[in-house]
Amino acid sequence: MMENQDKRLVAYRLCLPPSEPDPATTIPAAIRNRVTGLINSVRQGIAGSKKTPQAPTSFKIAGYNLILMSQDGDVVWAKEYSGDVFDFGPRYSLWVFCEFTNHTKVEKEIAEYEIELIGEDGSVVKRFNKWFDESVVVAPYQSKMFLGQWRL
Amino acid sequence: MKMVKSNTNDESSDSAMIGRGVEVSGEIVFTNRLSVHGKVTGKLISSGGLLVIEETGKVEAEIDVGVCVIRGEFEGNLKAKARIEIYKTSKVRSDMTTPMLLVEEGAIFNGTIVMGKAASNYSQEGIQPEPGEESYKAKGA
Repeated sequence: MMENQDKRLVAYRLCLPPSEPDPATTIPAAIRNRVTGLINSVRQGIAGSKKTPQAPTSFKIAGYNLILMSQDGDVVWAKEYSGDVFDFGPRYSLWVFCEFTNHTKVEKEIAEYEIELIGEDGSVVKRFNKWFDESVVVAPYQSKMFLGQWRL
Repeated sequence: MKMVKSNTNDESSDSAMIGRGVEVSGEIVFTNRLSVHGKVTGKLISSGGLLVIEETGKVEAEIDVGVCVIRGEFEGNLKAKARIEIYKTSKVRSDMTTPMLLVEEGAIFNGTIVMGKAASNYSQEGIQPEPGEESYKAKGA
């Protein structure tokens, strides 16, 4: 999340209109260096991905998490599911369907959600993230299904 | 069901197998694991167990289990509380209900997926979802 926010911040900085003060002269050197570093790492990542496509790897999946977020990036709701371990290997497609029911008396606005696949050691091995153009509103005691999908 | 024998070679005494060349018709209830190498027609039920339809297996049935792994042929309605796995050697014609679907490239699948709520035998933290389903159609990979 933080990394995504950082990237959005970078994009915003780079898109400042010409009438604004030159960011290079107004922002502190530390921030300027961080922005430059991020841009370089993104460039290297793009270049690297073009040169050497990563070989698909198998994962042992032990569960998944559903995280619902508001427009501000605050966690509205989170839930963890765990069960027996299974293999998610090359040439496999995986769909995860998560249901959220709003048990409160107020509407819940969801602008973004993540579904994380959890490995045997509890670490996140894959993440599915989706933003909605307009926040999804879940009325009290109503349910909404969220889909995550991956392909190796 | 006498035709379903316990697999004594397996580590778990709760495992059962329907051998190749064996045909079973009727309702089969199992606890832990059932492997089908033969033919089954009817119903297969387990509250949280694992059903494996092996490559030589052919099942025409209504299935309600915890996890279902398909490597052979299956036709019928399938409900899995935790997960369904469909491998490339399989031919499936089914309407399925599951919270998690794994499909290997090359599998033949015709039918619909209904997203079931998460498995009851899964540990859950947070608010317990209420029953409710939303229909999605998915085609085999």
